[in-house]
Amino acid sequence: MATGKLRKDELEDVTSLAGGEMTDEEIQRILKGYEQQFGMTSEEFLKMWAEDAVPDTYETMDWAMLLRYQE
Amino acid sequence: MNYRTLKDYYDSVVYLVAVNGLTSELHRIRFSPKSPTVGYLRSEPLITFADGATLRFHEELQLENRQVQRLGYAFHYERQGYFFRYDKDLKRAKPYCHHETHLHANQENIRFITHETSFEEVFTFIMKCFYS
Repeated sequence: MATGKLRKDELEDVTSLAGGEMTDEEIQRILKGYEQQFGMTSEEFLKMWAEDAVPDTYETMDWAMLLRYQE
Repeated sequence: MNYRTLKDYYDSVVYLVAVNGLTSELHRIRFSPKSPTVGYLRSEPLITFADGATLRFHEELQLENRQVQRLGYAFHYERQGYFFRYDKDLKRAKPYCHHETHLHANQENIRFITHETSFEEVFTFIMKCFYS
């Protein structure tokens, strides 16, 4: 990818501005937000997702992805 | 490009956004590694451009022989009255109506078949189309 416009020290500065790794607490908070937004638990959503009973919007795709990576 | 770890790829995405002048949005780019070579990147919650348009994205990745394999993604760009979204969704793919890599343009229920894309390609496309 294009990185040529920044010097090495500038690249290090950029890294320090990045959001970095997500915590489990953040991920849980996002999942709770989806549960409230759609009025169902993540388990209920996954069942409906598997049955193709919910549309593929950005939110539903994101929700399904986050659940795939849950421990 | 070769990447040793998911973090290397994450850094390259951060740099791409930075060199395009969106340093104020870098804190919204996050990643979650499940191992050094598997995990996902996502916006949290979104990247906002100077004109108020937004990009939400997530990208599921696996590195094989230092090459990025994209298991799934959604790149959703939205401005007033308009959106497009590139999706890769293997599990819900169906012949004729839901290709695994597709594009939504202002309609959720119509999917145009596309090639496989990437954060770099979509972001560069947005910058060239709307901000150069």
